[in-house]
Amino acid sequence: MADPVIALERVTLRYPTAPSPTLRDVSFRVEPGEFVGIVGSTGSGKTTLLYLLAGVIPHYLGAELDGDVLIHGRRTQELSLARISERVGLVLQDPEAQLFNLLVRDELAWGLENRGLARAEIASRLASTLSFFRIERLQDRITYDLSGGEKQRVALAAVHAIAPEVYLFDHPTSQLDPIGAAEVIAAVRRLAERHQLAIVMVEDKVDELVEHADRLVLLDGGRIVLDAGPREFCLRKDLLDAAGVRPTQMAELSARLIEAGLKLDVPPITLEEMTVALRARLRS
Amino acid sequence: MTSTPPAALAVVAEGLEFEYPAPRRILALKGVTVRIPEGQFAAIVGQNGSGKTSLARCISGYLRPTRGSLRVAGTEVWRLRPSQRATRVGYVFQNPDHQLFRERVWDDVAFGPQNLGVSPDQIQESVERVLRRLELWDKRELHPFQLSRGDRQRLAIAAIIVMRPQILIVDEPTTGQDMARSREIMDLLAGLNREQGMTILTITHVMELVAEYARWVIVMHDGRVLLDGPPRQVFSRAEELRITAINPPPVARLGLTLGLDPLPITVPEARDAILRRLPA
Ligand SMILES: Nc1ncnc2c1ncn2[C@@H]1O[C@H](COP(=O)(O)OP(=O)(O)OP(=O)(O)O)[C@@H](O)[C@H]1O
Ligand SMILES: Nc1ncnc2c1ncn2[C@@H]1O[C@H](COP(=O)(O)OP(=O)(O)OP(=O)(O)O)[C@@H](O)[C@H]1O
Ligand SMILES: [Mg+2]
Ligand SMILES: [Mg+2]
Repeated sequence: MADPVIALERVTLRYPTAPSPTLRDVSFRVEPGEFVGIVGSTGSGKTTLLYLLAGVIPHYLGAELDGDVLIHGRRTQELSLARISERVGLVLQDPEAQLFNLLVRDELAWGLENRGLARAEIASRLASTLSFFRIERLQDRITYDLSGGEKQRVALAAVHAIAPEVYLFDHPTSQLDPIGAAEVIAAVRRLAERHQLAIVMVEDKVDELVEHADRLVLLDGGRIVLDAGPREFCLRKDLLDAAGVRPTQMAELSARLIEAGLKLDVPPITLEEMTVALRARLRS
Repeated sequence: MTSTPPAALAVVAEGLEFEYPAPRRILALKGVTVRIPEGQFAAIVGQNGSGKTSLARCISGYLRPTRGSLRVAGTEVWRLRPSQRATRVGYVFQNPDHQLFRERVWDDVAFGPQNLGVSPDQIQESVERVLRRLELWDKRELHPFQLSRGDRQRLAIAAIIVMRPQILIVDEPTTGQDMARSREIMDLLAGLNREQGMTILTITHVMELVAEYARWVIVMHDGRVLLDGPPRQVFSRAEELRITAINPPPVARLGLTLGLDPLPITVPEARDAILRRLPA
């Protein structure tokens, strides 16, 4: 097993104003090249988990913390936020909270300028990022009068331009159109593979995660109740129901068909699997 | 055959164009023609930047059409004073934080009726009714920014429906909500539609919710209406929808591949359609 890029070891976290812990005894690791999806209902602790991995907690937000949060084996408490953010890119849940510049091109360039990159290098990264997120036509626009989805694309692109080795995404596709959302998640998969990056993505589009993520982690009331590959994840209906999360539409359909007496040896969880399983059996 | 009288129209747009002003001069609506009858529950869908929010802002009277015609609840709504507009059409912003500005939850909801000159007794009563209905009554003394995003979203809806508009437009009401909360919000809209006959226009990217709740779908592409119709009919045209980055729900795509007829658009419909096609 490769060394994890990031790891939580038995972490319990309580916000100062909260009566009880928000994360409870959470352990979890991500290796280079791995894409992990995080799923859970509202308030289950997803954003808190990302804040911990990004060092936002404890460096920016205070909390009572037990256990260890490690980046390449070093505790985040001992690293400065600046050092952490050289390696870790965090895309916030609300894109507007992340856009600081008047013009889109400046939004993408400023992180690079801050790191003292040469002009030519900045220009080339800018060009490739604009095309990766299909926002070339927006580069001279004012960030605050973009449409919701356009803002979200720019926020994603700004983090991509920095080329971190760990990406933390909080609902990165919440305002994207359906095909755009699917494309971004597929592109993230390729990014992880090609550059051996570690990806943690909070996302409620389980249908897309199942196609592209290596593992899915289910949070329920601040605990990790399931950390499994896509198939096992979809089939643990008991845990998903308890956590208020739905599997893929095809996994739901499989369950309904099995209830109705259809024999499916391996219950399909994706559209492709379902198509193959049914095609031969249906009368025309 | 008896013909039912044509329903009154909540929205009639013909060749509607809207251009954001100089120096940008972006033509966001390039000729929208659409009719929405009163009492409809319609979803507006389409690619990012296709003009959904711009159309919603025109219908709500915030933006004045650049060319073409637009009648909402029978009038040219942008000509009305805000207080006259509010009982005809209400618009809930894509980001609730752009809309909430008072110190207390209660004040945010009371603000609209106060401006309409409603009597204090009536304000008390209607604010309480709306806050209870949206499960915000216990939080009425809090500052809006002490609420979770989901609560703020419901508060933004409360602040509009307290004025009882005939037409309610909600821009991406389920963004950032989990499935249970999303359904709660859609159930709330469906209830207003059913009980008060409120015309609902909701903008969304979640096709599962469109399939379950909307009776009519308006598909936008590049500033125009690409097609419109009942969800089943719209989702049967998957090829055309691709150009505006819309994917029908997975069960509908399955139905198209397997040739299920009528096309299922929800999980129970798909189960029934498949069971009917299995050999006994
Ligand atoms: N700064 C804070 N101080 C006190 N409590 C907080 C703070 N931030 C979050 N919480 C609480 O911690 C819990 C988890 O919040 P978190 O934002 O991590 O949830 P989430 O899973 O991201 O939810 P959502 O899907 O709604 O974004 C919630 O009960 C929340 O109210
Ligand atoms: N305030 C503004 N000033 C100038 N141009 C704008 C403004 N708001 C939106 N636009 C542009 O108008 C077009 C339509 O935007 P609109 O917000 O209506 O799209 P949308 O369909 O709601 O997109 P999304 O799904 O991303 O919310 C886009 O090209 C957008 O960049
Ligand atoms: Mg969150
Ligand atoms: Mg919009």
